Amino acid sequence: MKRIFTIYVMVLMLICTVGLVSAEEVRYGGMVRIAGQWGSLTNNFNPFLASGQNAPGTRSALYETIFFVSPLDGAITPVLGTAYQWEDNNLKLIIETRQGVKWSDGTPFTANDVVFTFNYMKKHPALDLNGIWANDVTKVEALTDHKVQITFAKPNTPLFRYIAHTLIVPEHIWSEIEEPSTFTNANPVVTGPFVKGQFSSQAVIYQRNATYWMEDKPYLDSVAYQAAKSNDTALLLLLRKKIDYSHLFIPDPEKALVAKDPTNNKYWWSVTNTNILYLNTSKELFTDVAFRQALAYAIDKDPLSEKAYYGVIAPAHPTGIIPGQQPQWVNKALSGQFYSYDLEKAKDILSKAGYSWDGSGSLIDPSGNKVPPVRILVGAGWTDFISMAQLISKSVKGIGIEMVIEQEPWSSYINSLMGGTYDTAICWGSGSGSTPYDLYYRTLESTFAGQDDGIAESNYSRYSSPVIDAALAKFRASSDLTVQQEAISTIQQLVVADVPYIPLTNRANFNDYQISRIVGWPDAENPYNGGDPGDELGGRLMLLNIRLK
Amino acid sequence: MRYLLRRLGFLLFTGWAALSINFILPHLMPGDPAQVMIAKFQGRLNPQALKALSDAFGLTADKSLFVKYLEYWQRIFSGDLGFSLTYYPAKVTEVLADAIPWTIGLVGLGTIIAFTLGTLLGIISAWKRNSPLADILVPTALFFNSIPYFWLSLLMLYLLAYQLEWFPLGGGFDVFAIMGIWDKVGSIVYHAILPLTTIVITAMGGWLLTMRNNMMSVLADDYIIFARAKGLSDRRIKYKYAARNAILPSFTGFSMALGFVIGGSLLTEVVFSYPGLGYILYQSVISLDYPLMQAIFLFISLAVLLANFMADFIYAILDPRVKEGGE
Repeated sequence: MKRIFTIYVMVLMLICTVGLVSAEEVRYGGMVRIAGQWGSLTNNFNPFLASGQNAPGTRSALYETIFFVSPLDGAITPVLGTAYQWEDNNLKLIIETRQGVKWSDGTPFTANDVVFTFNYMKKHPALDLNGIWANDVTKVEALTDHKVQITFAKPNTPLFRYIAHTLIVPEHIWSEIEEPSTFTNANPVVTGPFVKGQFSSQAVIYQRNATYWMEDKPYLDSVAYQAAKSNDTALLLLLRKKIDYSHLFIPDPEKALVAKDPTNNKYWWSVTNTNILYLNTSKELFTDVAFRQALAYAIDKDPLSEKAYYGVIAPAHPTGIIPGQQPQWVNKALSGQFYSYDLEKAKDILSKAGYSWDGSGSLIDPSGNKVPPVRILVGAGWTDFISMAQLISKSVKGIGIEMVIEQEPWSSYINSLMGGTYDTAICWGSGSGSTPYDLYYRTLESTFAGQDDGIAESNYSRYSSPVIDAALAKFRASSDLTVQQEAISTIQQLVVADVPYIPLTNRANFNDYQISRIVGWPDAENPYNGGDPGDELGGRLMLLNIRLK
Repeated sequence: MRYLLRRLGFLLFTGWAALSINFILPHLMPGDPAQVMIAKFQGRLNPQALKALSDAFGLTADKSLFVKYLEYWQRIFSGDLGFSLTYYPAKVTEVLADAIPWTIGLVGLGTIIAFTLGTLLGIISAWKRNSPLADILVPTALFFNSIPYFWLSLLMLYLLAYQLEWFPLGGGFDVFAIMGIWDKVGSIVYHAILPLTTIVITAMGGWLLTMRNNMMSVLADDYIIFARAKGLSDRRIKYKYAARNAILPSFTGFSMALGFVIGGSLLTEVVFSYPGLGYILYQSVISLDYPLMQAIFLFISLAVLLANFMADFIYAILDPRVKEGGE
């Protein structure tokens, strides 16, 4: 097994170094201009902070991770690591680090920098946003100057992605920083393809790193991230070709973007998550499985995709698994149980469970009371979710349920979700990653259901099942694909049969760009960075591969 | 003197009340900043990060509201306003220092120009009432005063910047160019024209109408007729006699408007992607960034109170009667 992984990584390495640009002549130089709704930038390049608190580009142009794991299908691209393997029943992870890499101040990069980065997060828990030390890792040490060993108390193979996605900092700089969470790192020393250039609160410009470890890359001389304050500005800038790329939701992109200049204006909305109707199973109404099942059959998802996303983003699979991961993870043997819109079936389930309808068609529960109106929570002003909520409430009238749309501003919306005061709510999958494990772990694991302190960190449905917890543990303990597929299969069977939540539509990254100056963008045919936004980890691959036309 | 002392006492009392409310209000808002932050990442962060973020923000320390209140006053007097949570770990003072010049430059200048132009036009339109010019001015002012600002600014952005490309599509200066100091000043002016124009046209109407109405009633007063009878020049009557008295009510409004400049103009900033305090205030409110929110409201309250105090002061000079009033 481990041998196969190593070979897999080697092959991917080859693809990445030779594959993307081959026969045609490559033009060097130029600047790519990226705009985003960042509002106002801060002069902060501390890679340990959550993105948004540091300047855009910190995670894509400056610092590098060990590997990059595609959010679409889990494909692994080596970065500062070249190969990895699990040993000792998945209790040890061995990572080979790249040789010949230099920090931008000339100091050589070694495995010690990797070890330092992890131990630094152990010393300062506020930096450990990925919870690496909170999740069974006990020791990180260097075996040689290009080999790192990570020891686990108990196996947790999905943590690989978080370990792989840790941005590595230079030991010789950071070992002297005492208060890293308030350190703004105004002069970043990095291994990445670009170094910091000029900064203002409205834009930050990065210049090519002259000593970058890939000899032929990056192709561009510089990268600029411009802060816009509204989507409208970003779209106008893109249409006027004042920028090249923006990660931006555009209502009806075919009409509003492509039709304005069909040869140059493009978009690739890569599906990396799922929009979900969460059902609060701690509320009495939703403790009844039959009621939840009936709801699942009563919601027509096609109009959701048509009205809220102009048909660009498709309805979700009932398991919640995203299209890129379906071939590998959806258990086709279960397809008979995958529900779809069917009012008769929904009514059938309800009447078998003892529900009935009064003269005006309202639903009456088994004890003879009218089912009260169900609230559906959305963020105030979030047009896509609001139109979904309207369509859902229309749809469930078919089985006699009244729905009331409740809009709450961002902070109280998320507070209601985590605090469990809502009835039903539309929100994205509170976890997403390179396998369905991330979705199921965060949305269904009982640890996150708020049983201890009332705050459900990510299991908003507050659904807990020993079967799911056991399946998640089985997945964690293994690095064998067949075992992991079995675990996911167990969970998806419960997700469709027990309906802890109802997946509504896919959820996408919104890559919009124009190719009048710069080409080589990732797209559906060549999804080399998983469609990550240009300031996120996958943005690095984009910055490495785009070039002048 | 007694008048001024009384105003000063009033200033101190309202200042204390405003700042205390400023402390209490954010704490009444539902929600938890760390939750807001973690949810913003839409599932990309591990749930364990909630604890890490709370630690980093210093939210885990268990303190009573009263202790926090005392610390709040201590912070105000020491000038250390703490860390912003949205722009963590930037200090609140840094965040504000970056935005305040833009806001004062744009909204401050816009308010002053609008007031000056509006008042002058108001004087003219009252003086020359029944002339065609005055007849056009009033409905025009009414129109621009009641038009939704958001709509007007979007329209101007779309027509003048997007369609005709006379002006930039947004930002405070050309961020992609590397420029010398004078080029940069030129770029800043060029970028400010469009947002400044929208502020001036929409705000001017109000001043014009107020001034016109005041002028009209003053012009009917006996002392104006007396001044005419004395054979004083039109110019002298218009400005020294009528306008000086008619401007007093406008003046109070103007000082209030100057105080509110600090709040920035959210809509202008959003439409033109212009740097400034309005957007920062909005961000701080939606991400429950108490320290930043409190600091901005602190400055707004202080600015409004001070502007009012100054207005009272100047009022007393312009109109000596107020000093004796009520005694």
